[in-house]
Amino acid sequence: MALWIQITPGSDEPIYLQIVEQVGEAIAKGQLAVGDKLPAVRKLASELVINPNTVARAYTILEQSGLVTTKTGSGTFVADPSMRGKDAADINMMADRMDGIISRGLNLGIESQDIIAMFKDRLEKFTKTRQGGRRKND
Amino acid sequence: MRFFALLKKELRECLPWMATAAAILLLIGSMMLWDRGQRDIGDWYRVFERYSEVGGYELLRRPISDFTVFVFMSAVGLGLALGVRQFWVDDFMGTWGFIAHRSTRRTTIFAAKICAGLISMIVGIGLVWCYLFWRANSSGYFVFPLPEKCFIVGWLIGGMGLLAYLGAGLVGLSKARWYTTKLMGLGFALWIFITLIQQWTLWWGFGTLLIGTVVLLYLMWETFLNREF
Amino acid sequence: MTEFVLETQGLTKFYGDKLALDHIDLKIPRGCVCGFVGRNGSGKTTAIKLLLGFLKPTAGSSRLLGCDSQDLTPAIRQRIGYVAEGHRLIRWMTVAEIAKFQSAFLSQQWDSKFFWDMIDYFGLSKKQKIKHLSNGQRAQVSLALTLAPNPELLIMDDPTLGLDAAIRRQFLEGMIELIMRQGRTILFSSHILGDIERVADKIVVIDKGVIRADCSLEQFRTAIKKVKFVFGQTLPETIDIEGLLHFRHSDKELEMILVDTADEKIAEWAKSSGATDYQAINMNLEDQFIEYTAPAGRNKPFVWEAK
Repeated sequence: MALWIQITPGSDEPIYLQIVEQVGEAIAKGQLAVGDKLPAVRKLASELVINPNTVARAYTILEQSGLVTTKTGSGTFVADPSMRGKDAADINMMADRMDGIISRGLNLGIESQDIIAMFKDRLEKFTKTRQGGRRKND
Repeated sequence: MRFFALLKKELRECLPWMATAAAILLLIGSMMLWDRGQRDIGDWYRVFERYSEVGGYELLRRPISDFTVFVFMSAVGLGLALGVRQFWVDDFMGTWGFIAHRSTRRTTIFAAKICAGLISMIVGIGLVWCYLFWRANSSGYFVFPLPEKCFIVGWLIGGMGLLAYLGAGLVGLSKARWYTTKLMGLGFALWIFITLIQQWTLWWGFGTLLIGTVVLLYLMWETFLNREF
Repeated sequence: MTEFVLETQGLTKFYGDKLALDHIDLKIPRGCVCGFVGRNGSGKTTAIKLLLGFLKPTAGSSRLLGCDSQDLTPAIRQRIGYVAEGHRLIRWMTVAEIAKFQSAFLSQQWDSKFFWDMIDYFGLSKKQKIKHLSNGQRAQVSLALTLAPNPELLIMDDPTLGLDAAIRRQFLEGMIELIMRQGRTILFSSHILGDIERVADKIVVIDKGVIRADCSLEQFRTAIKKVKFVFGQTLPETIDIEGLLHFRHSDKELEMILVDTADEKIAEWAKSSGATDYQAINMNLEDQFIEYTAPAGRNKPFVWEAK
């Protein structure tokens, strides 16, 4: 399970955020289904060779955004999507990210409609993987 | 347990020097014995007798072939080598960090070094001297047996090597910034030595050696306890 | 159990008339992994030596596991692991002999199986003499010797200096393994900020003998910001924004390094100074460290004019 998380120290982004993003992406793509157990903090820390507190912090953030829940003694599990809240800050952050991607695309000389097409395309891939993942887990 | 682990380590480090000094002393000593045995004993006896009459100063004015001078040189040579090995090398190799962090009192570390040094000197010089003396007396090298006093004087001369050992050790331990202050340790040992050879009787000779040793040991111990690495 | 396994109060050290450490106050709680960073010659090794009682302070004091550094008892020293810079060990001993030597001092704690498993893992043999080992191999032996007694407090002075990436990784793995045991604390100094980022929870930055930062790694990362301001016409005469560390400028742009300045204050200043646009630029830990410890008043990067 832990094999797909990869961290890069020395990058602009703090390590705990890298973990948050990758777990988030896996959940969005359906690679992690509701009820799946995340790797134990210590195990992941050992494998990634990072401080267990960093992993714990990432898991806390994921929990705060409603993506996962922690059951003391058992571990951390992917939460039910209906439990996830969307607050203004989250949506703003998403908008900021989109700005970054759009500006990069425009600077590369890609046309607006092509940018939209690219978004559509990748979104489709996500949902396909998600459905495929769901089917596997049935 | 910890003391013995340290002692073992120190002895192992002193071993090559002790063995070398012992080998040289044995070899040259045997050669000299054989050589002397061909001639009159008179020379030898006279040298030792002299000691109690005019003081040891005379000793060092004899030509280099004189045996006591050779014992003296071996003892001082070994003493200096051991002093340097035990108290200078760790500075150069940067290993004081490892040694000083041992979970034991600094006094224990110091005691182990000194014991190892003493044992090495006693075995390397003292025992060889015993053997040579016994050899000299037993194998018909001389017309009549050497007096006991010879034997004791040999130990006294070997004991001067102890001063060299402690002096060199004190220099190594001293963290004084200026080389003149650093070398005071050796200078002090030298002063004790000069005092020693001015003594007119063996008792005073040994007495000076003992007092000198105790003082040097105390200075070394104090310096080591307060030393910075 | 004492709350702080390591504390210093006004720790000061003069070498002759050269000030190496200037009134250092530090408190490290149990369970913390503290990364000690600073430029070369900033005083890291001096601080560590003072902590372990190898140097005498000119003023102030320090305590390890509740015991004064100048009077560390053998029982306390047993609980402290120390890795010195350069990993100098007794050269003539073999791996087996030095293990025996080390275990003589730590008999109750020494985990022989752990030690030999590590040595096996590193591919070393018990008969090899320390003097025939490469720097990396000697570091590996040093690591095994220090971790096998299961120390409560581990102090390491630049343990990965000059070591290859694989061995560095082994050191980090060893540290992570140790920190996951109950109640262990680690203090280590390093120049490799990637390593600090991986394992430290707390960062202490020391510069010319003075502590410039002492906070959690996360706080450090979020506090130091690089912001670029773009101006339509000339740049403002004065720059008076709270938390300014340095700035660099070109014709129309101003790049500032700010410490702990709130986003609102930045927006405010941008407005009041007439900037047309501003943007926060992400920095990695290494950049943050370099900016934070650059000499004061440095407002132009060094540019080599090729002739």
